[in-house]
Amino acid sequence: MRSFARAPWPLLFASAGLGLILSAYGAGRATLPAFCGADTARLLLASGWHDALGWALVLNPPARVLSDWALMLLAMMPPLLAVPLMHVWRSSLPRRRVCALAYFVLGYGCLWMAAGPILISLALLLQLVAENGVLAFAGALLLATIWSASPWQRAALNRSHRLRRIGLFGWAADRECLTFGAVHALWCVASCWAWMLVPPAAGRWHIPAMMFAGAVMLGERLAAPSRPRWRLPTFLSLLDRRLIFTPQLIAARHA
Amino acid sequence: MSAVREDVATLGPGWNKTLLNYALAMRALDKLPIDNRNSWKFLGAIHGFDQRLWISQDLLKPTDPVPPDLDDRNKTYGNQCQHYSWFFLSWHRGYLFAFEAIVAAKVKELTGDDWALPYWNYLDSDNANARRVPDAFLADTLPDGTANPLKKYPRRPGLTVLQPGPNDAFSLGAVEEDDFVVGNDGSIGFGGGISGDFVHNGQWMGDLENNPHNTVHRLVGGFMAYQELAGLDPIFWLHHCNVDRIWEAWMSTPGKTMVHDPRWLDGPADRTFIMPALGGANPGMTFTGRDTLRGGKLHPTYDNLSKGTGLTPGAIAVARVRMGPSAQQTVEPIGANSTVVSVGGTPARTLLNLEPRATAAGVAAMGATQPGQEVSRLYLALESVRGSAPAPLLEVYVNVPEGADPHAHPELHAGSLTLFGLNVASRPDGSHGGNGLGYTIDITELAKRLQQSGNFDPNHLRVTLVPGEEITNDEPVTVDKISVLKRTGVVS
Repeated sequence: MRSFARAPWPLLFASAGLGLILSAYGAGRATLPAFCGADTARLLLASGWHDALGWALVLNPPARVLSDWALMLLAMMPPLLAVPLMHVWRSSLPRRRVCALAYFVLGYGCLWMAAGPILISLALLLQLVAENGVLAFAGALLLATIWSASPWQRAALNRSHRLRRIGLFGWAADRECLTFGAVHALWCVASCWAWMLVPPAAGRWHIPAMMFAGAVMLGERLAAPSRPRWRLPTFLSLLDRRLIFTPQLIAARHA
Repeated sequence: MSAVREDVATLGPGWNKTLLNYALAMRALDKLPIDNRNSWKFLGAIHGFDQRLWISQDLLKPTDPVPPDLDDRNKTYGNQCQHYSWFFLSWHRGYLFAFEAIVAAKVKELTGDDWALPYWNYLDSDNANARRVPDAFLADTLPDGTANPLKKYPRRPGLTVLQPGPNDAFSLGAVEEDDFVVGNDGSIGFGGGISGDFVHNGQWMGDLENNPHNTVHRLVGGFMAYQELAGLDPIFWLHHCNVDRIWEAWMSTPGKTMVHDPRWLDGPADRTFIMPALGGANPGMTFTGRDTLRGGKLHPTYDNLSKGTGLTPGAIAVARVRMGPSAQQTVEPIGANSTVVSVGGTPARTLLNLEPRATAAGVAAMGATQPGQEVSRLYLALESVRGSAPAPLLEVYVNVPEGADPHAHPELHAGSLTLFGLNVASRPDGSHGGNGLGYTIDITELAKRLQQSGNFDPNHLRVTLVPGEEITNDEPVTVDKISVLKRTGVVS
């Protein structure tokens, strides 16, 4: 956030807001991907795994699912990219900045889109296994919380803080932006994959679930790197921390 | 109102009262166990603490538990030192304040005398012995024949006087900078890089932190060369007192612009700076940057802000042309190399390509002096410097002819960097994400000389990195990117 005098927070949150609106608009216009509700999934499963998957694909064309996934990324990811975007911006010649950002976003987006089918399949699996929608959502939340407490997630988050060199000239610089975007996305997927299962598991509540999961991921991203170990997830410890930002306590520090 | 801090060279030779009382207090505090918040070891661990390293130096036994106050998981007292960010000066001011209060109380208890932390005025050009380590820190015994605690912790073997090399960053050059923070990330400036968060080692080093702060840590050596051990050497405190005094002199000089950002004044946002109270009881002393400024509870008093600071408080310093308000100055890259550079036992050369139009404009604007004119300064930036040594020396040269020995060209020397804390900042799971350290070197005067001698190519710049102590083929240093930055303002 907080390594620059001027960071584009308003723009990033506006982009996320746009993604949320488009996601909500899409939800209003047509039925949700059928497997976003576990009850529907259980009905499908009654006819067997293979048939269930087949019916799920017929009801939900991959193009539609992937475009919904892309909108979900737009709704959740921009604020998490403040530091890497500013790094690309300050590292580039003024005339190349927009192009540099575009290459970074391209590399980042491509990797997340490639991860999409895998994570969507995992979300489907979760719903097929759960008894009902509530259990599917609870299961996704539990999985994400345990992952957020684990040392492996902390190690992946640490790696996502690593900045890479961004050159100034020609295709070499473009390639470095693409690579930085893709590598950053790789560590993002590794640290956030479990939280990305929560919105699909939330059924009709997937918009608020996206906002909640996005806020959790932002909180985790903003926390300083630390030694990988089992720990209280950042979003649970933040419930305590809010108190230290109250004006009374700030005033007390100067007493 | 704090006691007046004085130049140690004016207190009398050998065992003057201040240093004798310092030794007695240190001995008493060093007898206290590490989990006592007023013990010498606890105070040192506030700066830096590494259990394995401390065990290897016989500061802890392998079976000793780590006190909860020093456990990183609790994020309270241990491992707090702020480096390579704008919190460097304010955090160390709070650290000195707490230390001085604890030592002064112990001196009062043992002797009834008052005590204030003296400073080591090693850059006082009026004192031929300024660089000599005060005798009390070199003596084997106290006047009563007992072992001298001020010599207890190891330094560079045989050290009696600081011996900087001819090009070392050991001068008062940092005070020529008028702005505490410049640019969108504070990569240029007196004070260090912008950070809203608590940062053990941040992204960009401020001018004063490199020169002379980092250099003195390396020149003293021993424990002083390690971030995790430096707070244990009693000379650490006199060194930092002088650094703090130079900052105070800088703030007291018209034309110097201190930062006003609420993130510096009231931060960090995610964790509070905390020092032990006298006696060590809860809640301890918390503080922010605001408390370190004039009127704040941590503001110190010095006997003299002119000698050995390069400044005369109240008088406008005319070292360079003013560039307008800090926030309106811009910083942009105009050139960079194309690969990561690794420096081992021998110098490494790298070619920077420059953007010709921006470079020509920058070079033309370097000499502006008329109010209202655009004025530029040029910098080399070394980003994400990584390695495993605690305080290696790296020298930077520009446009050295092919095959020539850089040391034969002092006129092409851009800067000397002491990479204090390199090992800590390079750890992948460390608090800085393994991003290493960042430095900017003002090459404006060098660029002017190159241009005048016809040795400046607006399309390319050749940079040579020369390894100094602690850089070897087994412990190389890597630099992710070397670039040229152009800082632009308006003459005012």
